[in-house]
Amino acid sequence: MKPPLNRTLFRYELRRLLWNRVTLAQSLYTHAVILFVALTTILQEKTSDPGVWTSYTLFYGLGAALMFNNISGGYLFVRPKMARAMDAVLVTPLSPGGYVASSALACFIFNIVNFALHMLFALALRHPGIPSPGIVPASIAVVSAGAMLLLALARFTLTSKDPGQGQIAMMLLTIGTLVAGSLAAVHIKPSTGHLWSMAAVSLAALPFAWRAAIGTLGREEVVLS
Amino acid sequence: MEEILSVKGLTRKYSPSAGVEGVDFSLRRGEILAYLGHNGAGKTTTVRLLLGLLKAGAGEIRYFGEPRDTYSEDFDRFRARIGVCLDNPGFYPDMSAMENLELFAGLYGLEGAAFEEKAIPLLKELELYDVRRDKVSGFSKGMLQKLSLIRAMQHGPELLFLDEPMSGLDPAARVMMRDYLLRLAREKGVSIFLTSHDLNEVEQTADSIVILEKGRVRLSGALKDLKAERAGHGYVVVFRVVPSTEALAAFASALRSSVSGTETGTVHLAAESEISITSALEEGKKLGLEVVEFRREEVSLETIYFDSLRRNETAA
Repeated sequence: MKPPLNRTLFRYELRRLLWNRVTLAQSLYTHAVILFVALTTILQEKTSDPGVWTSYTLFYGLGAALMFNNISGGYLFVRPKMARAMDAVLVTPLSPGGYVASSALACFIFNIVNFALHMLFALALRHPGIPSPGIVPASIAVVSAGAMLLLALARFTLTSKDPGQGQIAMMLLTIGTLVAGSLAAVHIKPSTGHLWSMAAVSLAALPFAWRAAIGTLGREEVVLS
Repeated sequence: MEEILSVKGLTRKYSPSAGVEGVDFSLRRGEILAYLGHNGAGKTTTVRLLLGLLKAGAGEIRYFGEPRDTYSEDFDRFRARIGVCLDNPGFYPDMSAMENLELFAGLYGLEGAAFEEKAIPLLKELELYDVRRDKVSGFSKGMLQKLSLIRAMQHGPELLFLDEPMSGLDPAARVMMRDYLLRLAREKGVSIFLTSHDLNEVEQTADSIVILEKGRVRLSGALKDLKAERAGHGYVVVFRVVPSTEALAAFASALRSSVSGTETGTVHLAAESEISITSALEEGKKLGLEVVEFRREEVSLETIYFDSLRRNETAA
């Protein structure tokens, strides 16, 4: 399916996320809190065990990705919907799918930049400098899962009468992931093969999530919600 | 005059008592049509149907003489010929006026120099040029209304939809906005469909009206014709000296009319047929009454509006 992107909207939305004191402060706070939790649990010492880094990516990385979803999705989808600002966009030639696609892509770039920074911070703090082959597929799986949940958040927000609930659900999911990470991450060490399978499945599911989020979205659903 | 928008039998029901049913009206080039009704009458639903934000249950919408399915993807390409100014302007508060305009212009494919060429004159004309770099979050309701109008106009539409364009405007801004809308219609031939609760303002701007109640059109037509129809043979006569009851009765009888109301020195007459000013002056002279003013009774839009709703209540 050809993404109905609008260049102007995408450019503006990306700038609103990246050149923004609020989203910057929220991102820094997220990095700090997750790293603090990790440093008191899974990353207490410098570890040369590659499995620890895989688990870190799968749990804490996913927690971070969900928080970045919350920050960016909250800014570009929840706020305008709650302010009843959607009608102004929907009366233009841009389709609702085009709106979601352009804004979601901006969110996705913001999220991926932050996720990469988060992993770099963690590796810089506790990594002994040996190869951790699981990080790459685990990161792909986490980023893809994060993107799918972002699309779900966008769809839910635009078609719900109570759009704030999507953000609350995302927050609860983040807390659950971080708690699970604190309790179980040390014991879960999937093989690199399993991680590549997870990455492949997540990537393969992404176009379906894209289609489900924007393919059938009509103006009426947004206006009446 | 070319018909820009015509609607026949437009229907969309949410429930037996909510929505619109069998709505008919038309709007010609350069005409200002006011769509009136109480809250919940179906004005917003109609606007949303016309703008393709809702799917119609039945009826036909013709834009520029062609039937259009406003809820289809094809209509997206057609949207550049329409400008919309909504009750809730929906600007990005963290961006400047200029950035907001540029973003929305981009959604219509208007970018770079072409955008500035269109937006700058409008910003100057509506007196927002000096604040174009300011964040919209600091704008007053009136400034947002004007910015919303600029956004609606910057891609050069032939038809404008305005939802409560005068609400929140101070008297000076109101006059400016009214003059601007009249200029748009009269000089540039832009057709304007507006919804409003301000009947005085509508009376000064609209050429035709549609009155909606409970989702159905109660009255529609050219404002001038509706006023003439209702005025009938009503006249206002002002005397220099307040006449006695007997003299007034004789005056009314001579003109084959009845007195429908009196204020100090001013008499309202309901005549059986047309009365000329000459005969009024002559009859007054015969009875020793000096007529200083004689004119046809004016019917206000407010009277027309409430009469039409009352008549339907009585009929029901």
